[in-house]
Amino acid sequence: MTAPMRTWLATAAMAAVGVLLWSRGVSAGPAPAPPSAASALVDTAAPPTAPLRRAIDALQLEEAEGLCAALEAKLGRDPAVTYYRGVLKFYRGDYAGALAAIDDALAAGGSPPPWEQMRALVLDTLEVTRGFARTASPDGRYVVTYSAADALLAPYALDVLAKTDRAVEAALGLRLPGPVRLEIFPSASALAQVSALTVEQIETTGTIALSKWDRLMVTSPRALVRGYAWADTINHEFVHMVVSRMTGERAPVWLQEGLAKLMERQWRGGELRLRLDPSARGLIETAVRESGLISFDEMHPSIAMLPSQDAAALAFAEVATFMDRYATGQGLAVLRTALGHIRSGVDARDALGKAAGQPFAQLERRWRAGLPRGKAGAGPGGAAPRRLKLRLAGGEGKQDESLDVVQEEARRFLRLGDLLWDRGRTRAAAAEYEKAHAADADDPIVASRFARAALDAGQHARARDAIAPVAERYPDHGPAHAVLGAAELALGRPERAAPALRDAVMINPFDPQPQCDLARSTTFDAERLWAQNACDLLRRR
Amino acid sequence: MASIRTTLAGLRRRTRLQAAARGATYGAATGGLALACAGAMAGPVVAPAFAWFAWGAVTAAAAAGVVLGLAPLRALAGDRLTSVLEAKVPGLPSRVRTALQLRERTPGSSDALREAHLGAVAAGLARVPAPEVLPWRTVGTPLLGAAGLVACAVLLLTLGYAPLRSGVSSLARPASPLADGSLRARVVAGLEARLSFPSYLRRSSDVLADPVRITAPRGTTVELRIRPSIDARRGRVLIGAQEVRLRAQDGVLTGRFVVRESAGLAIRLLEGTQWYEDRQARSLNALPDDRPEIELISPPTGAWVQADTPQPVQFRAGDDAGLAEVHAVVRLPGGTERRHRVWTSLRAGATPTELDEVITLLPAALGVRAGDQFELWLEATDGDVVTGPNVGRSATVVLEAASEAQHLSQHIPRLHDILGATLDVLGDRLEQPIPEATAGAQTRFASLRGKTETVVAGLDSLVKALGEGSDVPSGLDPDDLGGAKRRLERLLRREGRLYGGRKAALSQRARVDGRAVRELETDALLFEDMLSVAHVDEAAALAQELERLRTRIGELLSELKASDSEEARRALMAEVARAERRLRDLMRSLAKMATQVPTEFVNQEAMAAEQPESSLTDLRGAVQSGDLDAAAKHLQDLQDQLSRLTDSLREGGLRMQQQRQGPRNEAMAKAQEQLSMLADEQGRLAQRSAQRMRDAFERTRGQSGQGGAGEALRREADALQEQLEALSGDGVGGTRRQALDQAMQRARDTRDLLDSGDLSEARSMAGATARSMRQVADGMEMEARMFQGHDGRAGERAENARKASELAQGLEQGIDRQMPKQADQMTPQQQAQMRADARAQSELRKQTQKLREAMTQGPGGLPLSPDASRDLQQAEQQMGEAQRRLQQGKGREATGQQQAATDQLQRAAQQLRQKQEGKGKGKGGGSGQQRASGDSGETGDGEGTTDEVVRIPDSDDFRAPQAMRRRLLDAMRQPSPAGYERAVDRYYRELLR
Repeated sequence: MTAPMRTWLATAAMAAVGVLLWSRGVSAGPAPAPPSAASALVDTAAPPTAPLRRAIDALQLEEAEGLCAALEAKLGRDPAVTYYRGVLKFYRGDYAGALAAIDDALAAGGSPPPWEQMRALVLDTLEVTRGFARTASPDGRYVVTYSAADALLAPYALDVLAKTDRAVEAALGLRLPGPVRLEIFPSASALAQVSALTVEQIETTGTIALSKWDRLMVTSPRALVRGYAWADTINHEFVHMVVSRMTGERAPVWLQEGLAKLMERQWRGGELRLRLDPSARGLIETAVRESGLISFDEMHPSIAMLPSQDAAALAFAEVATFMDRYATGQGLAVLRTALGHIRSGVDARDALGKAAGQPFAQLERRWRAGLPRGKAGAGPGGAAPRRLKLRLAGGEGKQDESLDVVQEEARRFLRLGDLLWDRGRTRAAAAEYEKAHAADADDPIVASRFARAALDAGQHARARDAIAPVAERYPDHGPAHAVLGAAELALGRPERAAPALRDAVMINPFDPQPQCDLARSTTFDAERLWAQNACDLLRRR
Repeated sequence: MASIRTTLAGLRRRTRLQAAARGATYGAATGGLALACAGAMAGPVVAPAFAWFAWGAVTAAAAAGVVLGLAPLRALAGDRLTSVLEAKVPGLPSRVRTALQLRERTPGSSDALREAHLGAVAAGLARVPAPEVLPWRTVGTPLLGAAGLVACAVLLLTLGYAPLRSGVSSLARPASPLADGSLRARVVAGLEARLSFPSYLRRSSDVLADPVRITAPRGTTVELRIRPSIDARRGRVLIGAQEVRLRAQDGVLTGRFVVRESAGLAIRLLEGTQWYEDRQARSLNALPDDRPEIELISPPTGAWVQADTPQPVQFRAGDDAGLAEVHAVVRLPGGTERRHRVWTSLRAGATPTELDEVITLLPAALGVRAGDQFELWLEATDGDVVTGPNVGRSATVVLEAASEAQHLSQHIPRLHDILGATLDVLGDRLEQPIPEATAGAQTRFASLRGKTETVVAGLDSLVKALGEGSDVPSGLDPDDLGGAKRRLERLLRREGRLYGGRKAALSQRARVDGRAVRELETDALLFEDMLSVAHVDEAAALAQELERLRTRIGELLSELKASDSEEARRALMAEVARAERRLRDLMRSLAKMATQVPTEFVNQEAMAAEQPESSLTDLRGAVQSGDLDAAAKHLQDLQDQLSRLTDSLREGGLRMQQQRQGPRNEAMAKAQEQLSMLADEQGRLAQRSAQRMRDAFERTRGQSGQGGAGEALRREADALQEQLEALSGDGVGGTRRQALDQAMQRARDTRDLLDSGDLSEARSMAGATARSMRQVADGMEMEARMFQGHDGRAGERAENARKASELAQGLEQGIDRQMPKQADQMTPQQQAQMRADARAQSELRKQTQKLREAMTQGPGGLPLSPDASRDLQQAEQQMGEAQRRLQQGKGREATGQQQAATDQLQRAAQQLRQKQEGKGKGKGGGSGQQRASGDSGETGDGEGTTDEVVRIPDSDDFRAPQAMRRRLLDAMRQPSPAGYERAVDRYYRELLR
């Protein structure tokens, strides 16, 4: 589910959100549906429709379609069957049809609370997506819907979906029946409206994307001040959807997250290998050094039961490294077998052990032995990279990123730099940013500002030297990549600029500068064309 | 020949002229006599026939006289004229006649002879000029003289004798008949008009003699006194349509009327049965009393005023007759008008015709509430009680009573400008390194100085404006703003010294430049924080105002439901209009806030003001359509929306406070706690010192009994009191009386304090007495030198005053001498304790210094409270002084310093407390501002200054405690309830200690 930027903290929170959603009576997506979740969608007192309900809960939608048609033929306009027809339509993205069917069901058969709740969700979704544009791949397998302001993202998203689909199918062996639907929401509040989350929960947990009801839902990077790794997030959510299908929604959250994290960069191609970002690596290294690792017993049955967000973040880092070791050590075939065992009802740990032919405890010991023990994730002063808070863009108003700067002195100088920058005093602003950078060289916000000001003052090498290590340590910080690319380009090294600029665009495609710089630095014609178009479009806004 | 004729023509003209003179004289005499006779017969009024007859007779008489005068001309006709030459040159007339006969040539005559004859005649004539031939004296015959006398006599008689003159006059203008049968004639011999003006004009009466046109203000009473030329006993005065009867009194007709309108004025008199109207046309000009003119000069339209603060209103007014009153009239939003008299002639003691005044007006007293938009105009009235009063009205100005939020709004743009200017200076300093060359460096500094002075001026203006307001907006702290101003001024002065005549090293300049940069950085962040908070505060205040209005609307809605009266409806609509205006302000404020305040502190969705606007519009519509239930529903919606909005703003403000001010608030709380502890500790030390002094005094008293030195001092105090009382009854007046009274009061205090054993305070009071008496004595001595006074008493009084002054001074010295003896009375333990206290005092001073340094360098380098830092610095000085005195064994002086230090510490703690509570008013507006204005020298706020001179306070600096003592001493003199005298006395003594 989560993006690299908010990986550990957000995934920990996701579990909590899942529990919350269940408790509110709407199924929670990738997690195996507990009995209470099932009751959210169905009326348990309707035995003829029980198989249909189970099929829907297990995301066996094609089977559910057949069951529904059979029931319709057999029972005619039975309210429960009509209701499930509506639910199926909702899962298929026909929100208007779903609403009409549920209304019919409600009119004919009373209004059990779950039906009302489902109706409210469908209505909300219909309202939020009203006016959305729709773009599909030529073969119709991938469908992206989005608001007009996010039109720029749609072609990128289709490309990412196609690449992800191929990579995940190759790894897990399941091809989703399709069409694969992706909805891009213009704001966190819109996502909140269609997911029963609140904006506050989104803000505090970092949940900006969901895989649920057989569709992928992501927030536009435009809705965040610094964007986020939206492409990796789509991939991440796609893995959830596939694993849910493969396990009949029975995979525990830790397994889901471990696999999704392991595979979230697969759309880029290359070997399946976990790319542990410095932040997560720092967490693991610290835990290993201090014997603070969380055992799988503690994680089971749910990571949401862990006592703190830090513990949850560490747990997700652990499971990601575990699944990395399992998949690369045992092979993907064994992994697929394990998923099959889970679908058949075997406990996840037992399923993994059974498929690997060794007890899970042994797998765990070996994994522990292979965990990193050094201080590779440490930055200046030996500190691990800090986690940046999710910052939603609050409309067109003034943003104050300085609030995310931890070091007080650095924050002061950053504010001063911003004040001077806003008044066009770029050289003076650069002087203040430099002081801020001197106070905290590891802060990505400060480093980005300083590098930007240095670039503006013509000090290209200085800008590059300041931002390069920060971009390395904070791979999800879009502005750092954008400035690094710009600095490399200014230094006459487009071949070094292009990768950084691509990273920047994959975090925030709505920032015109990296698009324009990418158009100047890339050697690929298609990419140049895309970037130039985006650059022109964004500059015109 | 020609010359002969010319000469003769001249002679003829002269004879004619003389004859004419005679004729005229005779004619005048005869005519005059005839006219006098006719006039004497005619009387003041004559009929036209008689007049014609009389004039005929006069003409005939005059003609006869003329003829008589011209008669001699007949004897000189033709050549007989030459006869006049006979008397002068005998024979010449004959020769002349011959010459005249020879003037034409006759045949046979000799031309030469003729010419010779003519030449001889001409020569003869030339020798006798006409005046010699016909001198005027020859005209003057006795008859002519008599005629001339008669003519003159008649003339004088006619002019001088009224009946004759009246008769002649009536002959000249005989009575003419009018349509109503009366006759127009000159019947008024004299007229006098006495004008009594209306009292409001405050003019003395005036008398007009024989006026043709009477001009007077309306309301003027006119009393006419008419002296008729006929025998009239009755009469009337016709003024337009008005008729005024005339009554006879002592041969004079009188009448009275009041001037109301302009009109013709005719006088009619009755003689016998005939009415006569005086021929003289007269008129009455009634001067209207113009309306006063008044001009409202300030405030101008659109100005904001404070409803609960007296507002200056400047106006200029004028009135021809004089101004009586000026009223301020306010029209409130609901249309209600309220008036208030702002000036009256009664108080001024005069009715000026011009007035240029500045008065104060309290809008709240006229029903204006904060946030109201109201109209104001002035009305000036004159004192015209006859036709008025006349009212002049000024132009109307529309004003707005600033609400709390608007009060804040006024300051936000100023602070915004200050922030911009600060960043400008900071930018310049950062972007322009100091040139090595002196000239370049000086140019740079000159530019920076100008810009920095702009910042300082802006801060000064803002601090003053905040001080003037009734309430200081919580976001803007005058203490911090004043501190920033002083720091910048100080830096500028220091830097200025490096760019003056003395050449400074570049490194030195760079060091000071760096310090200035740090200061500007700190200030810029401070101002930015203040701005953000102010924006949120402004919106929050507006939302709260709206909420109050909503509550009021709810009440009015209930009233309307109960009464359904038009008045209630109007009041409700006025309140809705008020709310709509506030809502517009709120929307503007929110729009500004969205661009000025980071979105992290602004919940944009919750802060949409469109919903309340819609609810308010619906509410208005519902009230207008009479659907009160719907109105109540919309009101409920409005309440919910405002509640959400207010909550959101409050949360945003708290978040911002926490984020931006969190560390500062924590530091402030910590400092406040430490300050309280320091103040407590210092108080304990001071108390211990005071107790030691009391013990020493008691021991002194114990050793010397109740008498001893203390008794001697009391006797001296009694003597002083007696001296002063004697002086008081000796007719001292004026300003010296005040000083004497003060001295007497101080002397009484000294006596009481001697009784209570407080020698320190007694000495202070005796000193005050001595000072007052010195002042009295000096003045009296000077007066005595200039004016000896009755029986030389002035000198005696001055001597007594001097004596009293010396007594007071002696008493002070006596107490002073007595005091060291107390210290000598300390036990060894007490002396050891004093030394220990000196060490404790030293430690306390160090802790205070440490705290001050921490406060000076608060979070972000910003002093926690510049004013509190200054108090601490002063307290440190006092503690240091107290420590030295303790070491020297001077307990009394140490006690004073310790008490003063305690006060300073408590004051600093209080300042911090107020600051934390967001009520900087007491500091910023009051003491903060005073300090700001007094900081012209090198004194600072204690923010790390080392060159500040802190004065050690002397006894004069403790006026407040003295004042309290004074009140207590006065209270002590009040009678106590029976049986409680000693308890009450003990209570007051403890208080005094």
